[in-house]
Amino acid sequence: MFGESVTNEVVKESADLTGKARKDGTLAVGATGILNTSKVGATVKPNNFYGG
Amino acid sequence: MAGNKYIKKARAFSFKDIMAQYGEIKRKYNKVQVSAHKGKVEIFIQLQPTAESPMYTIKIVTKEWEPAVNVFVVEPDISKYARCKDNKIPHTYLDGSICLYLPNHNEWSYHDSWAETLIPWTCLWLYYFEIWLMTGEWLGGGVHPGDSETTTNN
Repeated sequence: MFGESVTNEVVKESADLTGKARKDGTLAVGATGILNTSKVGATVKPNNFYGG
Repeated sequence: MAGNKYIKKARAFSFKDIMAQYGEIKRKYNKVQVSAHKGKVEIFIQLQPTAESPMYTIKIVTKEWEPAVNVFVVEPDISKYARCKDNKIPHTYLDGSICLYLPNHNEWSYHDSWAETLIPWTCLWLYYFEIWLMTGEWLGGGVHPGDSETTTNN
């Protein structure tokens, strides 16, 4: 139970960092699809997910 | 009338347009395959949003002379997760395709490179999908139909 909550916090921290990189325009996707902040591959352009 | 017909055609993909998009995807991503039958084209790409993620097979579907491009997660079967979580995966359409951008807000147009828009957004969608599976929360922002459609991208 405790472990699950800690894991969720770590995951959310990672999501926050990804969100910040996305906002800053420094998030990219490499040839295998891996997200990175090393500007390897295509930069992730601004978008809004849509739908229910 | 002829003008309307021209506009309709100009906003749809020719087979050559689709193959040009496929060519760019093939150059930029490692595992890409295509199948075409009677003007319908399916592009399959294997993507892994993080080093810990499974390998996902994505299918981009379009048809000659149609403006729509739909993106599906083919493998693993993510629909099974919907049954565990309120029967709905966030930011998906009824046909199971994933909702990558806000329509009618100039986020995407048929001129755009699929390799530089749809595929990076798909990787991002998969990343947030995995977090949703773990935490129950969609942390990728977005807009739901009926919202005021104020953009909320992170």
